[in-house]
Amino acid sequence: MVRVRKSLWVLSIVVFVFSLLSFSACRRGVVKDDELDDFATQEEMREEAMKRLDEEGITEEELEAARRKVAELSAQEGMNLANVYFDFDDFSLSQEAKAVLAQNAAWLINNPQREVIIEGHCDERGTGEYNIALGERRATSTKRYLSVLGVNKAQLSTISFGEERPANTGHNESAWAQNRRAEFVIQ
Amino acid sequence: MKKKVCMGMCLFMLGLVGSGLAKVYIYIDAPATSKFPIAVPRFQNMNTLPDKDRISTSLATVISQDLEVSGLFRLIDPATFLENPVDSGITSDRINWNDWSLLGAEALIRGGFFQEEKGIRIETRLFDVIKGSFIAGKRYFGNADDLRLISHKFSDEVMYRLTGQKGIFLTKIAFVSDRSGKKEIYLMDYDGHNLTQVTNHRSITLSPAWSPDGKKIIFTSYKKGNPDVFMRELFYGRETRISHYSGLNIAPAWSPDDKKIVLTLSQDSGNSDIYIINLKGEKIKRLTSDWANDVSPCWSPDGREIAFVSNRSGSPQIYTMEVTSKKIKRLTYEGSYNTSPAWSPKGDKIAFAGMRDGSFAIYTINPDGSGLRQVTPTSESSEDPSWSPNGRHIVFSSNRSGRKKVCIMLADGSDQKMVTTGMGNDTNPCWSPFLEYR
Repeated sequence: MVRVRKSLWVLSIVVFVFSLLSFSACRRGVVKDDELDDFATQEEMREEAMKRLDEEGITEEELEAARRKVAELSAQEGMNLANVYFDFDDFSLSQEAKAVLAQNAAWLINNPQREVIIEGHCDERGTGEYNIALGERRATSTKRYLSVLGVNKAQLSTISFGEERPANTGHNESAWAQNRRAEFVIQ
Repeated sequence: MKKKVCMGMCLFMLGLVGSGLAKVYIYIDAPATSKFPIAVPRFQNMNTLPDKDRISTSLATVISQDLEVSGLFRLIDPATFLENPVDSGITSDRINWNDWSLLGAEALIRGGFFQEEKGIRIETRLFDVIKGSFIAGKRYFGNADDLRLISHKFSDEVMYRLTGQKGIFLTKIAFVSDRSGKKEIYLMDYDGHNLTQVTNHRSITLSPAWSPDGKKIIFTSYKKGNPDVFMRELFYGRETRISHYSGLNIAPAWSPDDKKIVLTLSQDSGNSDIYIINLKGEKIKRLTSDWANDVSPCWSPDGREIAFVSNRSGSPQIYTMEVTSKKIKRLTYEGSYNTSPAWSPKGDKIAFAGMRDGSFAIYTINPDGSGLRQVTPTSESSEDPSWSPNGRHIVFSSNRSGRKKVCIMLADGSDQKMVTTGMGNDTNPCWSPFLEYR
């Protein structure tokens, strides 16, 4: 009986603390919601970027392996910058894309004086405006991955052309596959 | 355009026309109204000079086409006309009402023109055939280049006199065409005539949107390398870059109160969000701040809400948001790719493009999410809907001819008509507001 009463006591404290916590969480939520015209701070943006990397499904081990690969490739001669390809309405990096980016990272690390523009492109399906936003995502996820591989961010800038600059002007699956890409343009 | 208006085309009321409407002949909003029979015979040459500009037929033809497009009129076939135009006049005392009522006409447009030293004088009148009475009349001065404009003006008058509502015959459509090899913005009359190239950026120019007074357009252009938003004053051709934040500046839409622009910015984060800026490009309010792509915002006619596209659910869908409270509601649940929302001028519908099996169709839906309706066929791909200012029509782009071309239709999908022709793809049409200055 005493035991029960004690656990009830603990429970009620827990509930009380919890309600306090959730109340303050709510309050914070409300306050944040009220800051309508505020823009994200640098810190928030950095947090967001980390979260995104997480959402893009890149693990620590993967990253380590990729960095080792970059170091290995950097020692080789005659590296090139290659395009990265994406699935329809998607901007996540496939294993294939990450392998290509490891090479690209090696090239960029070997050529620290060179600046490149990463162009995000889409296939012709879908809506122009939505595709510009999607192309932007493709370019920035590519840039973000290169920078976690150790490429100096100052070497990288991004632009999206949406569906406006197809690599292949055909209207079939193979043309579309070639058009859903991040392309590297050396300045 | 300014030149055109200044061409010395004045307009006088022909007396008898009072203010306000005596009678409404056609109730536009009545369900299943049968089409109103009207006769539009050739205009009469009122002096002896030869009609080398084919004025008599061109005026009647343009007016007939206008009335037909409205979807409200049945044009009596000119081949069946009984009246000999040589014997009859253009005023009610010289019209044989029986000749027209026998054909079933309930209204008649009669007009004549006088070729004068300084141009062409045109008199045109609208009659009630049943009562044998005059409804309205107008006199116009212009030259041969103004005949279409004059015809559209009178069509608007006929529309207003018979329905009590404004016609769209003086409106324009802005659109993007790659006919020059690059995507540029063009303007044309609602019927595809009077085509003019507006931009010459030789880059990529997209997404034109009108100011509420119809004197300016805003659009996205890569002219300076980055997708930025530009404003162009149509009369003066003056262009200013108003939004050039780093990253995307795309899909602008001008607020109904003329003070703000809603658009998509990405601010280099890769994440597209919706912002409101003022006409100088300064950010006033951020409307979305989430990890999804939020694009293609458009205003409700009262400016209190926006509709936009977001892939926050995993696929692009249409959402609405109350601008003050930022309260969001998802509107579309059918299909996995719904984009390009356009809010009707009366506020009662939102049109959008929905992709099913790789092909787009235009749909309309009520702002509460009910009443989803497909209005273009699945056999072709139709995108980019935009409403006429009276809400009766929708303009869109369709690939029905092989290339993408601008088409118009009644809002229920009937009476579809292709209005651009020629080379290239014509996309992103945006219907102007009523152009009071024309």
